[in-house]
Amino acid sequence: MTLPFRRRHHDDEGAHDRARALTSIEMLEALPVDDAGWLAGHLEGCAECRKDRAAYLADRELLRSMRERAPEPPRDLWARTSAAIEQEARARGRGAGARGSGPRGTRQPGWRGLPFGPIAGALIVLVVIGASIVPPLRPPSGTPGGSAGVTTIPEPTDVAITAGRVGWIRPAANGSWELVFAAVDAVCPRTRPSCRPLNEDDPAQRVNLGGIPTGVTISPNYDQLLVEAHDGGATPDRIFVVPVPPTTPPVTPAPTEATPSVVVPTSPATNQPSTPVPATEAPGTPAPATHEPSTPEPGTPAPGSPDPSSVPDGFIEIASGVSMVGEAAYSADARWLAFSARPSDGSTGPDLYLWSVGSPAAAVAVTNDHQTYFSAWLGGRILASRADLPATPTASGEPARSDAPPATGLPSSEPDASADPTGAPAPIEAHPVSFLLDPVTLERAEIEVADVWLPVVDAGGRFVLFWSGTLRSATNGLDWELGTGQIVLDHWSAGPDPSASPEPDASNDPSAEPVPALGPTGNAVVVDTGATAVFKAKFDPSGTRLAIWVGEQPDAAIGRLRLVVLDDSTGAIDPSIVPLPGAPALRRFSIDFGRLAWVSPSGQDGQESSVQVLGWSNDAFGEIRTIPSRDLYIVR
Amino acid sequence: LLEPSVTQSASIAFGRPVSRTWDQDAAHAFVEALFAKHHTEIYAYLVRMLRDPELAADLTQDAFVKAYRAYDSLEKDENARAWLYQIAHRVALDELRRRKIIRMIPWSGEARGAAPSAERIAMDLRLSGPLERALAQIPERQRAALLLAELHDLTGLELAAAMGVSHVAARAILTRARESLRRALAAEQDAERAAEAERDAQFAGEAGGER
Repeated sequence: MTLPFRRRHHDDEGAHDRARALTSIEMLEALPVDDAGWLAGHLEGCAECRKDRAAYLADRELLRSMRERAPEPPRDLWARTSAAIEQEARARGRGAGARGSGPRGTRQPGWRGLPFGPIAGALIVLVVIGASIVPPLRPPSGTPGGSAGVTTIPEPTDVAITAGRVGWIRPAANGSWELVFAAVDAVCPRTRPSCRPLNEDDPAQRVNLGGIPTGVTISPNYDQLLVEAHDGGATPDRIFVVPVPPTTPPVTPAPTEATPSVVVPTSPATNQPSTPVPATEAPGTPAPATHEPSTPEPGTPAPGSPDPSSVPDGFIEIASGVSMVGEAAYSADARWLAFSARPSDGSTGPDLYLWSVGSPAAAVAVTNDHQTYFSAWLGGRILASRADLPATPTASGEPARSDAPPATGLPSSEPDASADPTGAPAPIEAHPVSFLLDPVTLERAEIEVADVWLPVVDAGGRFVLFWSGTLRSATNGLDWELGTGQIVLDHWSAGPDPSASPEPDASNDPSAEPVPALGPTGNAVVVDTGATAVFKAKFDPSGTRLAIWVGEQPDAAIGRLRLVVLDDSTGAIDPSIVPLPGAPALRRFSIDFGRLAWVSPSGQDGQESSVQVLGWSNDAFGEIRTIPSRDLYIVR
Repeated sequence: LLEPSVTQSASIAFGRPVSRTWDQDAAHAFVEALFAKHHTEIYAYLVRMLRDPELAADLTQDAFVKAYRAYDSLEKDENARAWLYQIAHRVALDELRRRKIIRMIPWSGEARGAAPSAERIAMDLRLSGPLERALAQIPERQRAALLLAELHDLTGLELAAAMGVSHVAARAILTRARESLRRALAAEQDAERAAEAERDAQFAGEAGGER
């Protein structure tokens, strides 16, 4: 038998990894001859691996020293256990009194002292009712008690769900990373006190992220990862694309020995874009204005030209020297990647960038106002927002709108010290405007409704969630955060069809209703009034589940995540269903059919982070999570 | 009760269709014999997992009651020890998760940094030495793998069966556990050294003051 590491490791790093794994296994059981030979040979030439082995052995000795302090069980433990077994036998109603001794003088903590028979009977009735509503996950015959006709204390049945796979990145041994996809077909109802973990034993695929990322996004075709890297040192911030290695076909589990297989969901063939990168000059884009040298112009690559020599093989560096603002997203057809980013040196605010997927060229800034934020994709177009600056007086005393971007993105880089005795600039208030942008032609369609910030529209184009209100300049002088207003939900209008032929005067047809303009239709309902700085919202594909993450600082890594349920026909929020009122969550989350997934921040219950999944089937909700770990990134 | 093992790749698998007919007296006698032979090690395992002797005693009792209920699912007597560890392991994890779910409050939206740190938990539990504290800081399944393999001498297949995972997965968890323990021990040792240096500095300061 050969251990299955050989196929997965071809480089030096992988060899050390394999040596570490084989060392660990060798301490558990004998290695196959060829693996043992390989390990011996490797250890001979690898001082670091010998050190690892010595550390493992030392830790084992330390662990075994605990045997000297083996705890002694209480003397009455058998008496208590025997009494509980007899109580169990009586509860079964089979052979009551067969042993005749009854419970002995034992301590009966908690529920163990309760009358089992009546409780079990009542619970069985409840479970029968529950089972008629929720289909069971496993056939009853699969449980030993069930097949033997044994009465047990039943727990609430799992909630069976039909959900998209959840994907995440987790650290592997030796500083590398693994991409894991887990199928979630059942979640635990909240009334159950315990739940098995989300299966962390699903096959994982080793990926090279080049270091510890600050964010990871996977492409719709599952063939590449967008990695944001910020080491805080001399190395400039970088945004690069990492190929996900081709996968081996799933291995059918062998009856005796399972071989770890690499399984990534089947993806359609990658659609390479046939269109070129965005044109430098495009209708509807603002004319480039005078700005600092580091300022991107529309159609120019990101500042800090990527240096291909510093990029590992297979990586494509699409931007360098910029920090991503918010979250990047691929278009649904995987042809484009959009994001907003600002120079890492803090010289200006963010601009909108586009990268033609697969292109060896860098991402291109398609705005130069330094205050444009990517929000989401809507079909093949980009929804973005920018802060509309207040009118500023000119030398002549006439107010003028600052269409020409200032260096920092904010109206004045000079702090207004008069507003604050500490010298901190007074916050500036601005009104947001939003627009749709065609990535091919760069043609813009402005949303005429005022004060719409970061709108997100469901895939069906029916509902829109956005911040309705003003913006306030953040203390860093570069970003905008939420000002006065609230998060609202409204119906969405795609506007009049521009391709439609001019109709006869509509006034001749009294039944004809005018098509609302592009944007929210003006029937907004308030969803959240507590957002103070930043938010991110996503609809599920059905448009009836809406997840909203709210952070208290513009650059907050941790916020509160909630889920609301919408009526399919009216879009009204169902106040009777509160499946997730506000769980602590890291910034990125993923929503798909039947489930919402996020990463919990570390420190919850003293534990490290875990991937958490809220799953649903109609209005039944449940939860499942991975065992805690560190450095988790949700990608799907 | 026993759920089907996560994979069927390990050669020891429990929770399969009933392999022996239910006989109450036989079940009682079987569990009694099992208790006599293994209760000390099962209790020790649960103490080490939960770090609470009284709770471990309750859960040992639970584990043997569950073994009694599931008596007819054990195919071969020679697998009884691993089977019993599987039951105890599930009982321990259930208890640990129950604590987490109760304390974590993810649904109410009221927990804002109120959760205690791992260090605080370790202090509360009055863990005696760096090893206990390091073990307390690593994920539960990894801790279980280390304890079962190194202290309770389960073989690879027994470990997989006890943890309800495949043989390959059990070995992977154990490898991760060794790495986690190594890191946690290093952190503990660093912290101890720092505390010692602080004590020395304090002592030196006090000695200087007395002079």
